[in-house]
Amino acid sequence: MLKVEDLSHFYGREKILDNINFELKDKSFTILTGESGSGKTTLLSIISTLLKPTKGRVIFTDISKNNSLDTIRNRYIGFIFQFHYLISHLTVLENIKIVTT
Amino acid sequence: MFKSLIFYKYKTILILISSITAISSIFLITSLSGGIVTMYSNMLRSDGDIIITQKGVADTFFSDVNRTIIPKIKDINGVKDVYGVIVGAGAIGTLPIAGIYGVTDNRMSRYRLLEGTYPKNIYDVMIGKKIDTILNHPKEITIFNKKFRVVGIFKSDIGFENGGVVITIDSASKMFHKSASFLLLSLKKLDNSERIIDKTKYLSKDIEVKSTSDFIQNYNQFKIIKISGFVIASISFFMGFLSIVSIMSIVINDRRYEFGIKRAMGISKFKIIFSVLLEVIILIFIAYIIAYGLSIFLLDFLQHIDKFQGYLSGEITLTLGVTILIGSIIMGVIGAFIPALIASNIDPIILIHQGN
Ligand SMILES: Nc1ncnc2c1ncn2[C@@H]1O[C@H](COP(=O)(O)OP(=O)(O)OP(=O)(O)O)[C@@H](O)[C@H]1O
Ligand SMILES: [Mg+2]
Repeated sequence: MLKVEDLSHFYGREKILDNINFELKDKSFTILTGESGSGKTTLLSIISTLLKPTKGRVIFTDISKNNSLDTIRNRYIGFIFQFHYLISHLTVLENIKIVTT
Repeated sequence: MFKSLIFYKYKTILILISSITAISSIFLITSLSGGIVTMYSNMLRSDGDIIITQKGVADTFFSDVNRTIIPKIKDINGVKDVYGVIVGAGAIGTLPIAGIYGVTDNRMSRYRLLEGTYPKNIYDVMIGKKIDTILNHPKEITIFNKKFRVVGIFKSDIGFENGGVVITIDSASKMFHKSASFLLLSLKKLDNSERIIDKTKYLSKDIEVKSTSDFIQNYNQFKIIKISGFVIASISFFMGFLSIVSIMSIVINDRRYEFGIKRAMGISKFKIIFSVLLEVIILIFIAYIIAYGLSIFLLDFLQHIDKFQGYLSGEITLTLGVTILIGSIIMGVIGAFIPALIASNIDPIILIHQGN
């Protein structure tokens, strides 16, 4: 289960996320919508542990306790960026295999 | 691993070239300065277990020891033989400077005769193989405005001696106005050396008596050569280090998305640092092998240039090779460490901003 608790985020002085709370059940499918610039990417970056929130926390029950952020990212999170990134000198297969190296 | 080195080939080549230059110059300077020291030490060591120099004169070149004590030294129990040597230098024929060695008759046999005989008379000279070649097989040479008859040609294992001439010690005495630069004692048994040194000291107040190995260790000229060699080698080391730091910093900057993706995928910082260091170590290792080959080639080449009269002779010993290998890898690791640290600290969030 994913829990987001009292989550706020600032870029400098600008408040982007204001005290967000929600829970997502295991194996559920959720869609997040919002206007451009409303903070979707910011929220997802925080959930995926790429970005540290200014306030509040994100908890993956059963996983968060025993694992470092690197391990959580490496083993449990998939992320599709708005822009594609591939390491240009590696083959497609090698790009995919990075996770396991 | 190799793919990134090949993909960024321009920078890879830059790192290789600068490392090869740095490592080769370290090789050359240390082996050449070591070579001079080794050659001169070997010259003193051959048949010289104990050396006598003038008291208070640190340099063999300026030292003056009275040869009249030789018979008294020979009487000391345990002394096999005593040799007198004068080392000097001067213009010989068209050569602006060359070594001139005046030695007692009993020391002549150290020089392997290729042709002719050893010098006997005051205007006889035996010339080294290199000098013979440079001066095109002269029959006569001029030293300090005096004509000498070439009676023999010799070859010595000590490179620079081949670029010099040997005359009788009496002749050298007249030329350099001294009795002997130093005396060398060979002993019947080495374990007697302490006792013989003590006994010899009593023979004159004006002399300093030391075991040759002791003397070599404390010889100032050697220290100066070694220290200058060390300083130049350190500068090369530092230049190599700086170029690795700067080129690697550029490489890391070029590849920041690659490291960003790796961080986003949860590859640990340690693994990223390690992979960057490994790339540099591989490059340094390749550079080392090339530099090693290049240095051997250059040393051989320098040795055969007659102009240097055999002074430029160096050898890469196993210890030297291993020390420089370790030094080079340390140079690479330290040089690449900060760029590697920067790579590992690249914030994967850069990937997100790119999209916006
Ligand atoms: N690194 C940053 N520094 C300062 N402001 C930022 C930064 N990243 C995003 N913002 C601002 O935060 C707000 C939310 O941005 P975010 O990218 O999360 O929105 P979004 O909902 O993903 O928008 P879009 O639908 O256009 O992708 C925007 O106003 C954006 O300009
Ligand atoms: Mg967005």
